[in-house]
Amino acid sequence: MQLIVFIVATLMVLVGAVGVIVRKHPVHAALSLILTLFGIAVHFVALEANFLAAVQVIVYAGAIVVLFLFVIMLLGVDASEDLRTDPITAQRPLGAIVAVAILALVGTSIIVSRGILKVTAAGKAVKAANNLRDLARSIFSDYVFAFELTSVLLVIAVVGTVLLARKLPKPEPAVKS
Amino acid sequence: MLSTLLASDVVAPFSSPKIDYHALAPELVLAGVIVAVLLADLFLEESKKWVLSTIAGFGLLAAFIPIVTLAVSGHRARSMFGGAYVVDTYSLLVKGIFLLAGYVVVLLSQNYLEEGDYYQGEYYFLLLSSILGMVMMGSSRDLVTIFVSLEFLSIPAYMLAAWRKRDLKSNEAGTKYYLLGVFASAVMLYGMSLLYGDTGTTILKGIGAKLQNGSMSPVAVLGIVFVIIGFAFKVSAVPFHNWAPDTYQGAPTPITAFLSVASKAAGFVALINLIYVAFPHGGDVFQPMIGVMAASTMTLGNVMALRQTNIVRMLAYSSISQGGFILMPLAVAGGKSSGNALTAIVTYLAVYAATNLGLFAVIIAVSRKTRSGEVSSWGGLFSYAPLLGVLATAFLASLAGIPPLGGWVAKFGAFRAVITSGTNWGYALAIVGAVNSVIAFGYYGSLMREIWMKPVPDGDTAPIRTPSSLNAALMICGGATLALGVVPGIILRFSDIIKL
Amino acid sequence: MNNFPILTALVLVPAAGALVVALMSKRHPDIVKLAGVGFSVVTGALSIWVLGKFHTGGDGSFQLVSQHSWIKQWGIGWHLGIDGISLFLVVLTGILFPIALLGSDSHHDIKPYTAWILLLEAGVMGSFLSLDLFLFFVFFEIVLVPMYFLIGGWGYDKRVYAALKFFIYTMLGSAFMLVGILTTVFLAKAQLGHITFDLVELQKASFAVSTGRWLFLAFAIAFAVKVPIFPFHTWLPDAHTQAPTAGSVLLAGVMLKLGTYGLLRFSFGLFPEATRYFRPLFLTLGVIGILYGAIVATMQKDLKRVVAYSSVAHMGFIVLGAFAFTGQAVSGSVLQMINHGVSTGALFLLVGMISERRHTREISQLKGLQSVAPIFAGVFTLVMLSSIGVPGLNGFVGEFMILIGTFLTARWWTVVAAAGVILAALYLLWAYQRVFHGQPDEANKTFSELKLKEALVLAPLLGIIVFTGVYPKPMLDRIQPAVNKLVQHVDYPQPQSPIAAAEGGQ
Repeated sequence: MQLIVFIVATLMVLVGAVGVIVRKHPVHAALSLILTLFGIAVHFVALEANFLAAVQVIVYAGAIVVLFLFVIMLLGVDASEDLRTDPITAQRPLGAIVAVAILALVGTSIIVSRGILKVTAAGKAVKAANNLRDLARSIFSDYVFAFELTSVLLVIAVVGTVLLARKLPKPEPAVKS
Repeated sequence: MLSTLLASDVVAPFSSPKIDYHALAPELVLAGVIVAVLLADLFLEESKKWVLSTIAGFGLLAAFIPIVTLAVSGHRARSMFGGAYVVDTYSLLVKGIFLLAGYVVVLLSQNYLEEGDYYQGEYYFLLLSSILGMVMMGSSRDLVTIFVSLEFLSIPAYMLAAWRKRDLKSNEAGTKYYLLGVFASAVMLYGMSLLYGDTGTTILKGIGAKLQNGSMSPVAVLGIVFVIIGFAFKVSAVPFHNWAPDTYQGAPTPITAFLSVASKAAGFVALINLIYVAFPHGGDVFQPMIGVMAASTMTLGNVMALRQTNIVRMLAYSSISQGGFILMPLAVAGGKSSGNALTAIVTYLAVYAATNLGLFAVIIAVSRKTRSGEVSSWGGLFSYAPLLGVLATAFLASLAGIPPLGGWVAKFGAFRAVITSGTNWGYALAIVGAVNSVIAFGYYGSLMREIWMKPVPDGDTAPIRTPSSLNAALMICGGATLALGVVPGIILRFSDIIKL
Repeated sequence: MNNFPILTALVLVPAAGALVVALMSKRHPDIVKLAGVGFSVVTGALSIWVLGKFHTGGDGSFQLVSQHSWIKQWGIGWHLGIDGISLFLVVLTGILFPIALLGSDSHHDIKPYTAWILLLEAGVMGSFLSLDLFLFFVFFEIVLVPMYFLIGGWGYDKRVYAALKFFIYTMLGSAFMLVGILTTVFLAKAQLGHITFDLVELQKASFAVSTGRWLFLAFAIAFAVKVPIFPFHTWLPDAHTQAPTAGSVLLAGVMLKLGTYGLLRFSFGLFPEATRYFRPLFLTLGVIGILYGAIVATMQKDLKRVVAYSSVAHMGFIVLGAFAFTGQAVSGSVLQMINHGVSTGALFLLVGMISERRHTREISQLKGLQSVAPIFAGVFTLVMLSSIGVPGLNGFVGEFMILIGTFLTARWWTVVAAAGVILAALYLLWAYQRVFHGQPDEANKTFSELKLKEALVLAPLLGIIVFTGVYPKPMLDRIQPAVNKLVQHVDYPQPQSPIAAAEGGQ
């Protein structure tokens, strides 16, 4: 059972990821992204990380992709752009080689270290029922600093976005460099 | 479902983490200043926006005060959040460098912004946020904190790079920087997750205890490689450097100065934290990797710089090549010259910050008159702006490593570190470095040649008027460059005692 | 006044002068020049004072030492001292700089010109006096910068190219030296127990044979470029021809000596074993330099290039003598460094005067100057004869000592080198003949006679040329103790031949 779930979820993730890159229509690409994110949520469930699975579905597959779609619709980018021009010769074949090489590297190292990786004591102590509490506990103790900073980061993002989107009050003078 | 989760079995009561407010004071002051800038911007009239730069400048200096008080209150490391955030002499030193470099950038920005009609409030808000991220990076000793600090310093920088919205080049700068930055973050995160998976902890010290030479799993090796690659983007090491020239050229000049100095330094600080605390026994993995990167970074940076005709682009490649020199000691970290390497990098960062910011100050000053970024626009600078000419020569000579200007101390430390390692690797790297410091003179010299030996373009010898803030920046950098070269003891007495 | 740090003053006075000149107003070029000359004359006077205070005899150790700590963490100190090898180089520097400043004209931008020359003087003085490896390196590098600007800013047509070539060549050499210095210091740290850049202390350390040889090469490359030893000489003709007169005078007069001085002081001092090992190589390169310089000089069309290539030949003699490892040859080498500085410096001044008057240095454009300017021709003859090495003038003493001394340990090299003496006579006399003999054509008829000011500038050099030629003993008395100490340090098997008799004859 576990194996089947794993295979199915992984297929969802991979097919979605490939789809995001391959599909030329931005809406289709965004929809493929949902598939990927949803597949990850399934993985979370299989790992008994129920809370994370819920967050994954609500925030990523839900809110963020919906926002993507909004942007795509608002900008009216429904035609696919021609990406066939190659700025650097042999860029694509080289890219493919590098990609295969990295994939092989990661794959081998994971296969080789299969025996070394074990579930640790701390991992065993985690119970599905305590998900939320454990999460909250680590966020507000060990990672409280990073967590609080993330909130400031959001303010920065807001300010920046507003600024980039805002129209300039008056024309800028001649370009300096 | 939520109710069942909350109602489950009784557990140990939550105890809030202990926070040492004195140790966090620099960050807190800075955060306060950031809020002050944002609020002040709201209530200030357009004509009074100059107040913002004053707030930002003094705020940075105010944040420096707790650093001094922490430094004099003893060398005991203050560790918080289970070792995720550590304030020790090393972190204080790099925080000091970041704050002072930030102060100089504020000075550089003042007139540039006022005369260019850019949004000032948001500019300083983002600049200060980025500096706050760097200051935090100095103390981060945990994968999550490092990542958040990195994003904290990068995200404002992405937006600052695209600040000249009407200029396509600036848009390109911001976009390129953003896309590659995010890509690097993703690679790094993947590496971090592998490390966490292998060691079961995010605290660097814990990772260091788990990762031992010889018994390292391939997954951990992959983790180390990916994390280092992620930061290699940040410090624009070859082959992850190609965003730098375009971004530097397109961004507003004060931001270019900021990126090439402070942001790069933050990347190195992160690398130091990781290598010294988390991978001290991973020398077999990172040493050859960083060694090759250092050698190719300085060589390629130099060779490309030789071909540039735009000053900022030339300095972009020069800064790539200088990055190679800073990487050089890291390539022998973990061996017997670990301590020397740490001293060398921190010293180099300080010297490089003073020199490069100074050079950018000169560029900003000169381009106020010439409105051009071409090398030829500097022709005969000495004849009509002798002070700027001399300062520019001094900064260039310092970058080239000519005594008695600061640069030699930095280069000396780097060479000392690789040579004391006593390995053939070290010697080879030292020779590559030595040859490169000669090549570098090719382009530093060509700028000097313009300043001293070439005629003034169009015969326009009107003097350059520099505003007082720019003058202050020039004086600070010039004084620091000279002082660090003549009495290097002022930085060495600090950088010699730091340990990780 | 006994505690006056006179060596420190020798370095700091010109440096301060450079600063003062740089801060002066450029509206009064006369005052600027006066200040520049003033500072260099004070430095010259200080160097003469050093000559007076120097104790003759003794065991050849360093005198007037001034030692302070600079960067404690790295064992770098301000350690200056003087011995017989550096003494006359310092005096030469002290004398040549005011002469170069007075005897040539910058034509434009006199303020930076004067400031650079004074900074150059500080750098050269520092290099000759430093007993700390790092301090030496710093001064050695400082020397490059003013020279680069002097050539590039005030030189002839292709000055920018020549300046860059000069800089890159010498920098490349010193890059190796930097790695060498650091490696030496850190390897020595294991033996000495503490980190130090002090030459005197480092000499106590001994290195493994192969390490020592590598380190020797790292140092030797830097010095070989500076000397220049064949095949590292290609920057020299360009730099000399394109440099302004003062630049050429100083380049030939003192800066080339940094190379041979560095070889004697640092390469010999630190790595005696490697020095012995590489002896045949350097003897051969020295001889090649002598012959090559002489032959190429013969073929030059530009008078300044003739003198430039003659420098290559002369420096070949100095290298030959240094690597002969006999007291006599090394003393001759040290003496010849001074002689070459004086006579080639004077030659460059004279060529500069010719090119000031005629705006050309092409030998074919010059003719019959002897009949219109007999005194000028006389002075030129004297200097030229000194450069050729005619008995009675300084060049003879040095070359003769080198040849005699080298003959004892390196017979065949000496035989070939002796041919260089003949070639020197050939190319200089031939050039002289074409420029000064015959009937002057229209353009050369108006060539003006030596002016009083020019004569006064040249007078001290002519005085040294004759004095050293007739009575070299006071100089040799001061040079020999230090040289003997160095020869013992290198520890090359000395021949049983009658050196003593030959020395008596000197």
